[in-house]
Order: sequence, then structure tokens, then C-alpha cells
Amino acid sequence: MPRLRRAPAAIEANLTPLIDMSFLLVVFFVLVSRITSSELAPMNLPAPNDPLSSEPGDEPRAVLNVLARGDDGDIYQLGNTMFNGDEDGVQLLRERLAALYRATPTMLVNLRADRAVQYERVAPALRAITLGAADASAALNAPIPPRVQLVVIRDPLQ
Amino acid sequence: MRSARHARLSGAPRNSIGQGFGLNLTPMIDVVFQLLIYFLLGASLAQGEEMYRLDLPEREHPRVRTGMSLTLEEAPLTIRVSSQGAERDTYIISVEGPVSGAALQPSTAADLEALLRSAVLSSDHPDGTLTRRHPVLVAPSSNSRWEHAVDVFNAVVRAGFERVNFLPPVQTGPELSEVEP
Repeated sequence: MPRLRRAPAAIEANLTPLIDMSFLLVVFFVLVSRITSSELAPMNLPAPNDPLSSEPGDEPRAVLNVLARGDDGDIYQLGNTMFNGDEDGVQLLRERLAALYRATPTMLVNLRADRAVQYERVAPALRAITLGAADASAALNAPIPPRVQLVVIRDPLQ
Repeated sequence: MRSARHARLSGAPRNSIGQGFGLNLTPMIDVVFQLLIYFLLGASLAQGEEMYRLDLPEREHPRVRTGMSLTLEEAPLTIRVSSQGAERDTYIISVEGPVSGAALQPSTAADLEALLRSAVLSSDHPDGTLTRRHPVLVAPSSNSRWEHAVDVFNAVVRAGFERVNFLPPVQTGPELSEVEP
């Protein structure tokens, strides 16, 4: 009596879920990078010789950009919000910073200013940070140190 | 030498040796390469950004007394910067304060760093008059380029000073000033 022989089982790995997951991850990272990079206005950062700067840490931070040229006088960008360079704009910037400090008292402010910006544009930003922290300190009745990180770029040729 | 098993795993067509086992790795490799390209591009976009820590003087609110405001118990060393052009190193530096040799005007940031290093009391400079905790104020003029101000700030930090801050522009009113020179 002849023996019945089974056909060999086809073992195949189903890669479809893996590819699905990979594409989901790609979409996720692309979206996150767009959100993050939109805070970083394109500009030429200062590149001092032999900088004694350090890598950014993981602390909560806000990004304040000081632009060399802004549309309609908007030269400050905090997160994704633009502020004018006049007194009213600086006042609004101060209020926005105060709100952020109230939400996160340990916040650092990364100050990104174009290398060609004149100091008279940077100084009001520093003042707004100081006063915003003071406003939040008064609201929370607790000391809030205005801590800033000056952002520079390390010249790759150095 | 390629083994039969290796040939099967890498998606080679079935043959008489490895029947029925085909693992197609091509889509996975495609995806991995896409991720690799993405991360390479992302890394190059954020290349080289670094930070200087700057603790601004804390303004005390009448209702919140911290006792932590920057009080200048010592006469600060004030370093004035004035841009003379858009090129690098086209600025004038002048040093005012308790440094031997008044009215000093180092011509570059490197000269400033050397001057400040020699002013700090250390084993190399036993006649130095300042400590690393001495307050230093960088005072750019209102039209100074930010890169020139940062150059000077970097020179002061490199010289070892720990309490470095910016003064408001010389031409603006006292309302901006948190710390008077």
C-alpha cells in the first residue's frame, strides 16, 4: 500500500505588520520634527572661536528667536508666535513668557539671535525674560530665576 | 561560501534544497534605509547648536523676597564692545574696572582672554587681583553686532569667570537696566 506523502509546509514570515509599523513611525517622526523645527527660525547663529559652550540638556525650555529681518517689524519669535519689536510687542512677549513661567517655573529660555542682529534688539528680549520671570514669581509667590541659554553654533571647520 | 541556509534567508528563489521557506527581506530593508536617510538628514539640520548658560539677574518683586538677586558687592569688571564693521573681529573692546593697567583696549577677543587670565589670581598669576567669582559685565553698544558681543562673552567665559552677564545697551534708558555698572 503506497504511503501518502504530505506536501512540505510553506513557512513564510508575514512582514506586512512590520512595514505598517515602520511607516507609522516614519510619519510620527516627520510630524514631530516639523513641530520642533518650526520653533527654530532659520538664521545664521554666532560662531565664536573655540567656544566653551555645551550641548543642550533635557530641561524644559522655550525657544526665543531674534530675527535679523522680520515681516512688518516682527522680529521676535517665541515658539511659533511672532512679536513686534516695538514697546507693545515686547510687552506682549513679556506676558507670554510670564504665562510660560507660571506653567513651568524651571523653564530655560534658549535665546537664538542672528549674528547680524544689533544688540539693541537682543537687550529687550533679555529684559522681557527677566520681567516675565518676575511677573510669574509674583503670581506664584515663589522665586523663579530667569535662566537663559545663549545658542551659538560650533563651526565644523574648527 | 554561501550556505544553502543563507541563500534561503536572503530571499533567493526556491530550489530543490530549500523548499517552501522564503523570507522576503526587501521591504524591510527598504524601510530601514528610509529611516536611516531620515535620521541622517535630521541630524545634519540640527548640527552643532550649542549653549552658553546665562543666569540673568533676578528682579525681586516686592511681595517675593528671595535674597537671591545679583547684588554687586564688588565693583564689576565692565567690558565695552563697539562694532566697527560687519566683518569678523571688526570691533573695539575696552576694559573698565579693577584690572591692573587702566584704560585697556585689547584688540581681539584672544587678547582680551589673555588679559583676563593674567588678572585672575592663580598659581600661574600670583599677582592677579580678581577671583573667578568676580562679576563681569559685557556692555555692547546699541549698534553692536550680536556675534561680536558673543565673541567677547566667549572670551570672558574662556578666561574662567563664572559670573558673566550682559548690560543693556549704552544708549537706552535706565528702565532697561537691571544692574547698574
